[in-house]
Amino acid sequence: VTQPTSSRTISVAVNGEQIEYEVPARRLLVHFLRDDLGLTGTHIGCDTGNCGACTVHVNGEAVKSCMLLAVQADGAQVATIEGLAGDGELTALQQSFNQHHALQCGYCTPGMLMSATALLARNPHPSEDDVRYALQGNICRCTGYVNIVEAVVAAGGKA
Amino acid sequence: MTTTVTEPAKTLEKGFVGQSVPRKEDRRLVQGQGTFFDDVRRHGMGYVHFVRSPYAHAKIVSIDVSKALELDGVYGTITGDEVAIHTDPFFEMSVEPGGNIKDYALAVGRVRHMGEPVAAVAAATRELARDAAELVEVEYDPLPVITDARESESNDVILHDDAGSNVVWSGVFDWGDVDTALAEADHVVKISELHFHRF
Repeated sequence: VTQPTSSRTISVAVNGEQIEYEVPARRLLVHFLRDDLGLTGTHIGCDTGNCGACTVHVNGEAVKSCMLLAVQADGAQVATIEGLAGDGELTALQQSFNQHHALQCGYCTPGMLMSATALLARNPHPSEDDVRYALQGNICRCTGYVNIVEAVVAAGGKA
Repeated sequence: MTTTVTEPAKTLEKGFVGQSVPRKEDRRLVQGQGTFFDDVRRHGMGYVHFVRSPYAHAKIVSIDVSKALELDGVYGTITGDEVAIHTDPFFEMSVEPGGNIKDYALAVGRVRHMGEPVAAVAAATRELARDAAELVEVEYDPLPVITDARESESNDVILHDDAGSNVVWSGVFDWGDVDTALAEADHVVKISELHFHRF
């Protein structure tokens, strides 16, 4: 009798760094990032795909990393909040968040920034409606939506 | 009916208040460098997983954690009844009758919404805690459910016996000269009933 595979070695580029890692087949991408790689900037708000706090980029697209198994990211390029500015200057969007007071407790912020960064990559000058539509999967329990939307619109230059 | 009278905010002299001050913590928060409780790692730290109710309303007949405790690497379990022994109920902010409700960190004796945690399992890994939680056996006796706030007013089924009614608080926030404000408004929007969503 063959036992089902319970773990697998994956090869994934995280913030540009190529990583090989053996992960349990059942491990979620968000737990791989946080627990195995120590990238705790990606937050868990709900574990059920509702809140968007765990949003990262997989091959340039914003995805909720609690909705993906780590093994599904095998061969992919993953970008997290830690990789946005790296050690360098904050991105225009990060600066705009600071200027527009688009964060209070900061818990939803990494997910908001990753979703909005993906939006700006495909639509560099989004309208307020575009931003609201793109961020509908991200919940802010401080309810700071107005300033978050303002910050993204301003970063795109349509303030 | 409780009437809560609030006063308008006082006008302050222009000074520190009202100025836009950059926040000290923002730079690290926009870089994912905050340290939230879930980000803290400790040697020998355990992971918790909750056993949750599949029923919206039910009596908890029994909880058997023995099979979960048999697994290697399971640190311990706690049930609602144990929580009620070891802790005081949460402080209730409401006046009576809502203030009479006894509310604990886990469901005690009865579940009142689907997904309400009834027991917790701590183990060496996240996966083990989840597996052990699956082994906890809970017997429920389902009770009638209410899924509409307006229907709940009939009190045919009462969720919190301590309150004696499903209307646990009601009040009017009465502030300012509403009639004048309405008369001077450019637009008046009339909405018969507003519901708060949960986000």
